[in-house]
Amino acid sequence: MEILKTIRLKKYFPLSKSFLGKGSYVRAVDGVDISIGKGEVFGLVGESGCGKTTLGRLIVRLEEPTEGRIIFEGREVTKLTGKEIKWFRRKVQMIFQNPYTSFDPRYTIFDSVAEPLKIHKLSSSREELEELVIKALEEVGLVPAQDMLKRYPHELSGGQLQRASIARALLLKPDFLVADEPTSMLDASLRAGILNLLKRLNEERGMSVVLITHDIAAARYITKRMAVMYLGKMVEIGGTLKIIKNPLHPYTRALMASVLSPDPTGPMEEVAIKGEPRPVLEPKGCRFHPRCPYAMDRCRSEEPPLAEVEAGHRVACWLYAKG
Amino acid sequence: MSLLRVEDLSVSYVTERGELKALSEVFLELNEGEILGVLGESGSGKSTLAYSVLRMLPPNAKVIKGRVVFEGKDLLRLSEEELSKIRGKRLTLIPQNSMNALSPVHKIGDQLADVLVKHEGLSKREALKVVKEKLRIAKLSEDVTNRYFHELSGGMRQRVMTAMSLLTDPKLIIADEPTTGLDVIVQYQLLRELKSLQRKLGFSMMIISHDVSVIAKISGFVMVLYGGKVLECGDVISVFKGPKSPYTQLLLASFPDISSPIEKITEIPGSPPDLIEPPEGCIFHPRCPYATDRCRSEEPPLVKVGEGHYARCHLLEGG
Repeated sequence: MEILKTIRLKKYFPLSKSFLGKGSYVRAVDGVDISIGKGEVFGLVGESGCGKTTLGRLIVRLEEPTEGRIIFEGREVTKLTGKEIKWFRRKVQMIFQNPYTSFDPRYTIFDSVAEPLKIHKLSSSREELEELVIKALEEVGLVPAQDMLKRYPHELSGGQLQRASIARALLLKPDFLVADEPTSMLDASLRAGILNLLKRLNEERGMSVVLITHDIAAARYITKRMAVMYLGKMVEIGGTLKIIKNPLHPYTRALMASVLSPDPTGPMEEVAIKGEPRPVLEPKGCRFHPRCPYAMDRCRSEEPPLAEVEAGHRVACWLYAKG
Repeated sequence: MSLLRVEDLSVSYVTERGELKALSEVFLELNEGEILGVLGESGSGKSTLAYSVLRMLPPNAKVIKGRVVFEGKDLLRLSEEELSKIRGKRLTLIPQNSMNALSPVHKIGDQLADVLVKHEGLSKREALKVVKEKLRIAKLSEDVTNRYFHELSGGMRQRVMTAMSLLTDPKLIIADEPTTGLDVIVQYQLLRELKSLQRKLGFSMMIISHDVSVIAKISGFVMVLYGGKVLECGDVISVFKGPKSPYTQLLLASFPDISSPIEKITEIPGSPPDLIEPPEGCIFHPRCPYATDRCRSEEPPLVKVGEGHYARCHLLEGG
């Protein structure tokens, strides 16, 4: 069962006129179709500038799309009004990369975590509010929860604060959580805890999770399906393990070959791609062709469609075009 | 021949709440041509160690005791004049990837050439020749000399920093999180290039990182720091294949590895220690699943657990 889908979703950010002349845009998200199932953990993987964060922000409606549609539980997200918006804001939550900037430094943990309950009028008394907050903090492993209530964000470690941000998101019992690089600011010893927590919440509550990350190992650990993005486009989508074991798109192959393993004995093979992506001057044809070791004439003129190569595994690359 | 020896080094920071013990009684020895990886999380003291060696600590830092002996001289006790003959010349730094490591208003070639004009007394023309050569070594084209730092991509900026660190043919390069913040593919390529440069040119390197994989791939020797203390050190294969201190064991197990089967990754409960009021006994005991009463009261020494492999844990003593 599908919970959310996007149809040819686009987000262009205009650039100032002095830079590269009039009418230039950064095509942060440029025609993305994805479908996410109820209870699924889905990975959105790519390097900085690929548009994965913008896509996440579009999904939760922190950004308005330039074009395209977002359907959540059968309803058109951009056309929601009044009460429906409130419903959507409850059902869909997001957690961010930097927990220190997603809390007001002058609010105690209790004030911050209880805020959504107050906005949505989900509690009738101070006692009930406190009880709900304590329960949520306990659920994410912030114990003793009573001690946390009166503390301020700077008194918590990054890992603790990220847990508090998850507790805040969970209080509204969302069906859908977008987690944008939730572990990339955290130390290794705290990272595992957050990943295990997301995994458990998905299993216990059946909550759908979109994990946005550049960390392939993290995606492998908690997602079943993932999409790889490059300069605003999806270049490959399919089963996480399948893509990691047998990446098809030349970009995905380079990405997988570049993942460092914590093994001191293995060699470091050469990764045969050049340069870095240039988000503004995206080329004609396939966006990856200037860096691609397999680029052919067709790649320079015509953009490859995202085509199914085998069941559930789609790739945007002329190397796999049939006929 | 030992190139760098750090002996019994303790460094504290003066803060409003009191003295923060960033580094406690650290020993290390680095020979010519070796790469030492210093692995630690935030607050482990890894950067304090690096900047102590460079004598570039912030003003509120205080060296409590210890020596930093580089090529036979204690850097902590040299005059500024003597220090300037070594630092930036025999001993250089690759700083953490950042936008403002170089000035945005001067051309890269001029800024790099200035180093040689100042340190080596070269003419501007001679200096630019060397700069171009080093840029080539760091896989950049010569015309980077005419560009400005902010025009370059993150990967190219880091390559400029590598070229700059090589200008004076140093004996030791300190690399502070040299690939942190870079994208996966660029990070991989830079690390691979750094390793091959080191092999070709033979300098020693001390690389500071929080990333277990980076340390695994580049170092010959590794030192694991936690709360300002060395909890384990040895050659990289012994430490990674047979970690002895519970902290190293847990840290390695908390790292999802894409080349091995998916297992549940272990979390280390709790948070890093408060170094203003550090725990009694072993610094890791509040988070250690094996902690006993002894660990809570008595600090364990570093004990030998293998050839050149040391770890700090009561469980490893006398048996």
